[in-house]
Amino acid sequence: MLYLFCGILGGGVLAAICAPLFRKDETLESAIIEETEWDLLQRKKEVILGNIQDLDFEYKCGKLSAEDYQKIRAEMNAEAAVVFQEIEKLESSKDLDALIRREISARKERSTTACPSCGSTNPNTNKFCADCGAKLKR
Amino acid sequence: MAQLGQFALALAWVVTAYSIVASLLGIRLKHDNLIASGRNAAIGTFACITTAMVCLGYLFAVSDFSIKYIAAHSNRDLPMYFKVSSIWGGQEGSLLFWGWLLTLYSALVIIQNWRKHSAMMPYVVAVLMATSFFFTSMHLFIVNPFNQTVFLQAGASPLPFVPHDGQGLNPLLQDAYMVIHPPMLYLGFVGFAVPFAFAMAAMITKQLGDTWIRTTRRWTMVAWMFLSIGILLGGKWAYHELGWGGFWAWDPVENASMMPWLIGTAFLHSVMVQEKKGMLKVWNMVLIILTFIMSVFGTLLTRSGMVQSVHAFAQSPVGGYFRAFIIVALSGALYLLFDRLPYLKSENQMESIVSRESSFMFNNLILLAACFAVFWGTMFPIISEAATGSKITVGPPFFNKVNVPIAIFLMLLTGVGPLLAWRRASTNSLKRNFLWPAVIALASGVVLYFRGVQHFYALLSIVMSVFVTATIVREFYKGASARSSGTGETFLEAVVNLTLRNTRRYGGYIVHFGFVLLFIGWSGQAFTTDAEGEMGIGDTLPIREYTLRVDKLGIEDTPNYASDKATLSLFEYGKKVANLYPEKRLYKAGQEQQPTTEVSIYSTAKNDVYVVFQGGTRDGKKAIIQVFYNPLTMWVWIGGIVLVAGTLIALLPNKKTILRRRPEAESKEERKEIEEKIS
Repeated sequence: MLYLFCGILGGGVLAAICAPLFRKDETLESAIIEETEWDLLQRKKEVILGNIQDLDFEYKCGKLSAEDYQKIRAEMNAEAAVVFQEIEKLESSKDLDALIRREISARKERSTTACPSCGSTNPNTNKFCADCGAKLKR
Repeated sequence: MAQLGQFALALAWVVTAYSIVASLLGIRLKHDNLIASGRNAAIGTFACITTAMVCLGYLFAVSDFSIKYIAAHSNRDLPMYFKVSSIWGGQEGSLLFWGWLLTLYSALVIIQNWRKHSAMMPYVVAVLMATSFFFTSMHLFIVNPFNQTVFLQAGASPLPFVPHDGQGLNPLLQDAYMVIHPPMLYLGFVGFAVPFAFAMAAMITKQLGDTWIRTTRRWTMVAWMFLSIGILLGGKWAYHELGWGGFWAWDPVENASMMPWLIGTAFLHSVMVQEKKGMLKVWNMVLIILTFIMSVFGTLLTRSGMVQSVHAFAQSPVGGYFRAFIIVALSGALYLLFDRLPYLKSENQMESIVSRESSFMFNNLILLAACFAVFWGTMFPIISEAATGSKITVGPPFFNKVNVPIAIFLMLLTGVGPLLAWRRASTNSLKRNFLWPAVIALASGVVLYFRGVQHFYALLSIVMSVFVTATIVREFYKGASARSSGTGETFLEAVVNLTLRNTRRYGGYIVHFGFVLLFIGWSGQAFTTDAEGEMGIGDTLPIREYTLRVDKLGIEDTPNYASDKATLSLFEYGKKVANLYPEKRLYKAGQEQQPTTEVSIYSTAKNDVYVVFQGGTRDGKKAIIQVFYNPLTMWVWIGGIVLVAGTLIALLPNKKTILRRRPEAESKEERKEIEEKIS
């Protein structure tokens, strides 16, 4: 009985550990870039919009004098305008292309396999080397 | 079962080590299958330690005294629920419990975040598993709960030995609160490993925006809530079990839980400044590093017997290993922090000293000062021994002298902070926010003073409590009024919806109110009085408006303990209000019988009458009864419940987050509306 329980535990854990190693194409999760410049700007925009909403609400609640509110609101509007401009700039076609290119190259960098025969880099999806035809290891 | 437990621990050790190596190697080689394997290994560690925990629980349930840990912490007549709670009743088991909770948190965090934060997660796994590796090493090599009971004989090798009965669980731990106090405390301590791991991962991956903070916000709150519950339950246990009339004595182990709580509280506040204004990035890193280190330090203090405490039952030689772990973890984290300083620059400046962000900063400094004072007082015996050669212990007077003014100032900030605007507040705004709360607080102070409350700190703390309550009520009132005027909701609906739309803010106010109640209960301790008497049947003992009368003195005998018990009647202004049954117990298990005091308490919102059976007189005809009159103590526990309720509300997702799940077109329209508003 003891051996059975030990076997179940050991076998289960070993199977869980080994399963991804033998999987052919484990999704390249580590290649996903979490924070691009665009993401950061979007986050900044969310924060500023949230701050503005909070400020408006606090003014409605009577926590700020009209003078304070107007001054701070104007500052926040100016900050929002800057972020909006930056996003627009980035989203204009030329910059968007550059952004996509940057993302693709970053992903490529993480998702290639070196050929064991000639050393050239191949996308992970290739089964054989595009240069020398040798079988690629996974 | 013990062999299965041993096997599970050994497997956990190997799998944890593999998880660290696989995660780090996977990142280095950009090998995603290896990273995924490391992730699965981390979840596998949870399966292994869970198996070990189940085995230990089973061994306790069947009273298998061939295992040293079971023989030392249980006995046949121990009720089943205490047998189960004996798992964390001693050194080996409680560390196993720590390690198990860590693997549980790790598994949950991995499942929740693997896809959302794929770049950070392998590092998070590595950090969590590195901590887990320390604990699995301790379980396996230093404090193994599955070691055999052996009979030591001079000049010969130890022989396996099965005693007829165990030594029993420490009587002080045979209390319902002690069943749940350690799990809550440990859930708090261990929980801070999650934000710490994310902070380290954020620094390694250089993703130093507020992603790691937003991701771990709820985990931090959960850890903080459990730590708060653990501390309060510890206080409740001390109040019921130790028989000295109070709930907090600045014992080193109580302090050990207070230190990470203080810094964790500072962290919970200062992250808001980073989220809102992109400031205090380095500060937040420092706080989370300290919170985690203090959590491990708390475990070290509790478990090593480094300083004398009511937890002296937990002494063992694990101190050196814990110290080494703390040094390694702290050095690693600080190195990383210094290396990443250029990436942790503030995005904004503090604009005015009178602003929400500066009030958070003050609150942080005060909390840190309190933590330092507690640390200094707790470690003073060790510091003084190192400096002068003699151990000098500082008692409650030191802690109270330093911490009472700090706590009162903190209370002031609790009221002031939420009323200040972000960025800056003009005199005009200050006047409109503070006038009424200040007038109400001062008026209550004057009334209380003339009604006899003249203890300076107690009066001041009640005035502060009134001030904070007034600000909280004002916040809810103004917010709900503004909302109901805009939406047409009734006032009550507006209060509910207001809270649900910003759970963090309004849940936070409820937590603050919980503190107010705690503070009121705590202030009541300044007016505690006591009386003592040798009492035979029919004798009475007066205290304030109450009178105690002894009705019966008897002996009770159970398989687990024998007790001297008194039956008392309690009269309030001459009218009987309760029967009280204080006891003095003598637990039978073990070689030396161990006495404990079981107090009996009559508790009302106004005061507690706390009765202790101190023992019998020499001739055995009378009982020595001590009675404490503790004003307002119930509010400490009510405050604790409110505090937990507030935290649970703050943990709820905001209602607008749910609204965002409506059809995309509709939510787009909402966004457009907001954007138009600001243009």
